[in-house]
Amino acid sequence: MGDIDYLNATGEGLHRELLDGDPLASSKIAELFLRPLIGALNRKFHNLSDAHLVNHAVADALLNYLASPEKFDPTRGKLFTYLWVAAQSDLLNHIEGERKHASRKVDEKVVELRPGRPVNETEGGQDPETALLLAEEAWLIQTKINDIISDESDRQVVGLMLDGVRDTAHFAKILGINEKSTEEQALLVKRNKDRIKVALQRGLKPRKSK
Amino acid sequence: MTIHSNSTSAMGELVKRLGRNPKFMAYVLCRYQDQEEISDENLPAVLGTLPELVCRLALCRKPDADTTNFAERVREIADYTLVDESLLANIIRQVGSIEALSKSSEHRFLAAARDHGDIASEEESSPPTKKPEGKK
Repeated sequence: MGDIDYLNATGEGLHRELLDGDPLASSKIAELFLRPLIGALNRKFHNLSDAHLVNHAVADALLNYLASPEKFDPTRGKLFTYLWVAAQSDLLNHIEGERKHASRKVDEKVVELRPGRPVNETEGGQDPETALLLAEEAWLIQTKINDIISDESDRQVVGLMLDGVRDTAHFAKILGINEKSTEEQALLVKRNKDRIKVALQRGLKPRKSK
Repeated sequence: MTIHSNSTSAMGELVKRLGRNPKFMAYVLCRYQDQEEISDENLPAVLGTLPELVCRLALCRKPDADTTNFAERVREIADYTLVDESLLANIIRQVGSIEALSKSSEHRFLAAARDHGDIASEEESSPPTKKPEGKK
């Protein structure tokens, strides 16, 4: 699956979760789309007078979507494209306003106003950089956690937690307690999660107490 | 809340602006920081998690403390951000309670001000009261 296919497939699921009231969905959507959107817009508008304009436009697009996700119609296009079009329009409006205000012409080769793209057409994010950008922050977090938590199964538990996994069975398998009753598994998984959080909080090596 | 030092500036800006939307945890954290006078730098330590995960927490939707699945929602967020769930629940409740209290005080104050205004305007519009004549 390509990067853009991954973004689209994941985005579709997260949009549904957001509408269903999942409290994690907004965070996951922001983490998933923010960097690819910035990367794609920075490549297109690479000669802007203010580098923060792209950040502002992307933040604006995500903010508006997260505040009113029901305005996005998944039957008309992909979420990435929706956000891309919103951020790009914001950016172009800003640039146009700035250009009028400053009364000097910005290089047309760099900033060329084009009609809006069809909503089903996807632009940007199709480069190998996207995968790296998506993985970079997760890697940084994992490195910091690995400095505190040395036990491999605990690290795997943390990995699942950070991925937003809720199914007890996944945790039970890692902890080697999948033969126990469901109730017992739930209890032990919770106990281990809490222990790991406390260990992390204290920045100490966790004590094995499975 | 500004988390610029610990995230990209776009993420920081998004979090900052969500801090004005009561539907998000960014708002709760912002109010909590105000109430407890916690700086941005100290917030991860207070929450006992990584700065990157504070940003992640801020981007989550705020669970409604009045719903039956509140505890479950809080647990999901706590796991996702490696924050202690009872601490998180307490923060959400504290912010909610203090806000409700301050709104109620504000209403009382406004009502009192309105009543005071009514009395003052009544006094202005009513004719001066006649002093009772003294007995000869």
